[in-house]
Amino acid sequence: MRWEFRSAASGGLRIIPEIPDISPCLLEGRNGIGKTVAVQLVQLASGDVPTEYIARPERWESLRARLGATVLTISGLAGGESVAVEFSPDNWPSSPQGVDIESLGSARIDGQPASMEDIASLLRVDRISGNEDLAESVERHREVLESQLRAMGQVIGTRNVGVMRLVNDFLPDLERLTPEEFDRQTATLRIREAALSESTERAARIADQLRLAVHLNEVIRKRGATQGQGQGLLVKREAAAGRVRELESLLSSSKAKADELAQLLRKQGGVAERLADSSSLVRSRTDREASLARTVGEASRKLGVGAEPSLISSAVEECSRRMDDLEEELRRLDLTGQLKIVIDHVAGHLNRADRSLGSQLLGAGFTPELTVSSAAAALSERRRTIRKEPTPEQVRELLAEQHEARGRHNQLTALADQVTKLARARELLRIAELEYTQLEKQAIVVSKGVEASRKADAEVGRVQQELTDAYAVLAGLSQDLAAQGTLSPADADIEIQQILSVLDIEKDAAQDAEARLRHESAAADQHVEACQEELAVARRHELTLRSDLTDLIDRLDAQPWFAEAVGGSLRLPGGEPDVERYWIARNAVLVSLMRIQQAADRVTRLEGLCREFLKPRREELGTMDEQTRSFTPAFAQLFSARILDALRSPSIRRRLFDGAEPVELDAANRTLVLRRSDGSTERRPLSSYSTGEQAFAFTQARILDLEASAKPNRLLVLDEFGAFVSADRLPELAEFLGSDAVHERAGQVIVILPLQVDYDAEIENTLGELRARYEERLGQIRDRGYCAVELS
Amino acid sequence: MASASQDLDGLAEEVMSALIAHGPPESRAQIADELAVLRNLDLGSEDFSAERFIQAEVKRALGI
Repeated sequence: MRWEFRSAASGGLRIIPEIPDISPCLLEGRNGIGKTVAVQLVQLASGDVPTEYIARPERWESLRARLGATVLTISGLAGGESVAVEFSPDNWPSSPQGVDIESLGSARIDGQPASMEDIASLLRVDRISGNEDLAESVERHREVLESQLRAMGQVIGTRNVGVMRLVNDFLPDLERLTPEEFDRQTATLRIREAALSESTERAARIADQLRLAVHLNEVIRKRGATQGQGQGLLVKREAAAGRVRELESLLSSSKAKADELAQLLRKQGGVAERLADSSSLVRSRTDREASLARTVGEASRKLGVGAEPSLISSAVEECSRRMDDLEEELRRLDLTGQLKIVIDHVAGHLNRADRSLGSQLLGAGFTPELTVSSAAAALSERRRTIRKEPTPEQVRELLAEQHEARGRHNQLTALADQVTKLARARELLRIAELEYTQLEKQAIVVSKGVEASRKADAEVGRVQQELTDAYAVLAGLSQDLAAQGTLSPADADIEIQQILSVLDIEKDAAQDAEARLRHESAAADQHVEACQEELAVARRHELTLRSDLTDLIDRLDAQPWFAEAVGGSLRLPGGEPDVERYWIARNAVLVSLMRIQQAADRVTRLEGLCREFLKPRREELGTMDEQTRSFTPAFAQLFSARILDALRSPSIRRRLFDGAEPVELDAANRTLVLRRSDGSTERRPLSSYSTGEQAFAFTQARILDLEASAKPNRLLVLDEFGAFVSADRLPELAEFLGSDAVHERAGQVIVILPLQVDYDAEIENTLGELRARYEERLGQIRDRGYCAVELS
Repeated sequence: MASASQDLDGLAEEVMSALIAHGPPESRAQIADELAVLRNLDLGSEDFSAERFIQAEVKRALGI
C-alpha cells in the first residue's frame, strides 16, 4: 500500500508526504518531520482515534486546530482500490471521545464519493510503541482509563444540563408537591377537625352545666322569695291537690261499691245480669274517656294549642316550617366557613394582582365597574364581616332551638294522636250508655238491687265528673304558678337536689360554681374559635396545595414531550387530576435526575481514584473521602481485569512469564502475581520487565497476539523503536517482522525511527553495500527530511 | 452512528458492573439504578434527546 499526504497543516504542524509500498518499511528522520502524525491520520481514516489523543485530549485539540484540509490518498489496497480522504477538522468535536467518524472528513473510493464508514471498513491500523515495557504499558492503560472516565463524566454532565434545562421550569413545584406533603396536610386537617369537634363538645357540655348552675341559683332564689300572689296561688294549688286526692279516693270507693252491687245483680241472671255487665262497661269506658280527656287537656294547655284536630294540624305545620328554617340557618353558618376559604383563596390572588392589574375589568355587566382593585376590596370587606362567624354561641343556640322545635313537633304529633283516641273513647262510651239505657227499659220490674246499682253508677259518674273538674282546676293553678315562676318549697328542694347531683357540688357552692362555669364557658368558646381558625388555615393550605397541583398538571400536560411520556394526559376521563399517576411520573423525573447526578459524582470520584492509583506512594488515596476510598477494591478489580486480560495471551505468557499465568496486579506495590503450572505463585515487580530484552519480547508477543481482522487491509506500525536500535537489535527485529508469522497478521509493516546516523558525516567512512545504503538514505533525507526504505 | 473511540455506553457498563460486583454491598442497589439511567442517557450517541430520556424514564415507571 502506498500512502500519500497533501498537507494543508499550519502552525508548525508537519506531515511527511509519502509512505511507499514497502514492507517492512523503515521510516527514519528527524523528530518533528511528521512521521507519527502521518500514521495517526491513517489510523483516523480507519475509524480509530489514537490512544494518545484519548489519554491527552489537549493533543487532539492541537491537531484539530492545525491540520487543515489535509488529503490522504491510499493506493494499492487489497482488491485494487484506491481511496482518498479529505479531513475536515473544523467539523471535529472538541473531545476525542465518541467521535462520529463521518464528521472526520469526506471520502472517495476509486474517484466515487463514499462514506468514511466505507473507508473504515477497508482498513485497519495497529500501532505498537516499541519503547513501552510492562510498567509503561500498565501506566498507559491507566492514562487511557482516566481519560475515558473523564470523558464519560463530561458527557453525563452535558446530559444532566440538557435534562435539567427541559424540566427546570417545573422543578420547584415537582419538588414541593410531594405525596408526603399531601399526606401531612390531610393528617393535619383530620387533627384540626377532631380538635374542633372535641372543643365544640366540651364547650357545649360546659354551657349545659352553666345553664343548670344558673337555673339552680334561680330556683334557690325563688324558693326563698315566694310571697304575695305567688304564695296565695301555692295555697290554692295545695287545696286543689287535696281536693283531687279526696275525689280520687271517693271515686275509688264509689267504683268498689258499684262493682259489688253489679256482682249481686249478675247472680240474678237474665236482664239483671246483662244490666250489671253493661253498667261495668259504662264505668270502664268512662274511666278511659276521663283519663284521655285529662291527658289531652294537660298537653293542650302545655303546648298552648286548642284540643281541636285542625288547630293541632296548623301548629304541626308551623312547627315543621320552623324546623326547616333552623336547618337552613345552620347550613348557612356551615357555608360561611367554606365561603371564608373561597374568599381567602381568591382574595390572595386578587391582592397580588392588584399591584399591576388594579384598574383592569374583572367582569362585565357590573355597575359600578368590577375591577381587580374593587373586587379585592369587596372581598376583604366581606372577609372582615364574616371573620368571626359562626360563633360557638350562635351554633349552640341554633342547635338548642332546633332540639326544642323537634320536641314540640313530637308532642304535637302525640297530642293529635291522643285527641283521635279521645274521640273514639267518647264514641264507645256513648254506645255503652245507649245499650245500658235500653237494658234499663227492658227491666220492667225494677228490683231493689237494680235501683241500688243504678244509684251507685250515678254516684260514680258524678264523682268522676267532679274529679275531672278538679284536675282542670289543679292544672290551671300549676300553669299559673309556672307562668309566675313560682315553685313550692317541696318542688324546689327536689329540683335543687337533682341539679346539685348532676353538677356534683354542694348547695353552698352554687354561686361559685356559676361564676366558675361562666369563666370556663368563655374560655371554651375562645378555644372553639381558635380551633375554627386553625381548621380554616388547614383547609386553605390544602386547597392551595390542590390548586397548585392542578396548575402543575395542566402546565405539564401542555408540554408535548410530557404528554407523550404519560400517554396523553394526567387527567382522568372526568377531568379530575390523576394524582396517583402524577406521583409516579413526578418520582420518575426526580429520581432519574438524582441518579444522573449520582452517576456523574461517582464517575468523577473514580476518575480521581484512577489518577492517583499507580502513584508509588498513594498518599492521595488517604486524603480522599470515605465514599471514594470505599470503591478502591472494586476499581482495582476493574483496572486489573483490563491489564490481566492483555497479559494472559499465550505469546506473552510464553515470552515474558515462562508460561506462568498473571493472576493479580498489585497496583499499590506495582507487582504482578504469577501462577505457575504447578499451582505455586510468584510475586514479581513490574520493574523487573524493563530491560531491553524484556521489552523486545513484550513487543514481539503483542504483535503475535494481534487477533485476526475482518478488514482486507491491515497496517502494523511500530513506533518509538529507539531502544532496540541502540541495543543493536534492528537486524533481529527486521528478521522477525519479515517472518511469515507477522506477514499473516499484517499486509504492511512500518517501523518509525528517529534519525539514527549522521549520514553526511558517516558516509565518507563507509564502503560497499553499507555506503550504497547510506547514499540512498542520505539522498532521501536531503530531499524531504526523512527516508523510507526497506528495513534490513 | 459508528464511533471512532471506545463506546461510552460500553465503558459505563464495564465500570458500573465492576462496582456492582465488587463495590460495597450497601451501594450495589443504588449503582444498579444509576446504570439503568445511564443506559437511557445514550452516552455514546451524538443524538441524545432530553425529551426522549424523560419519556423513557416516565413510561418505565408508569408501565407504559
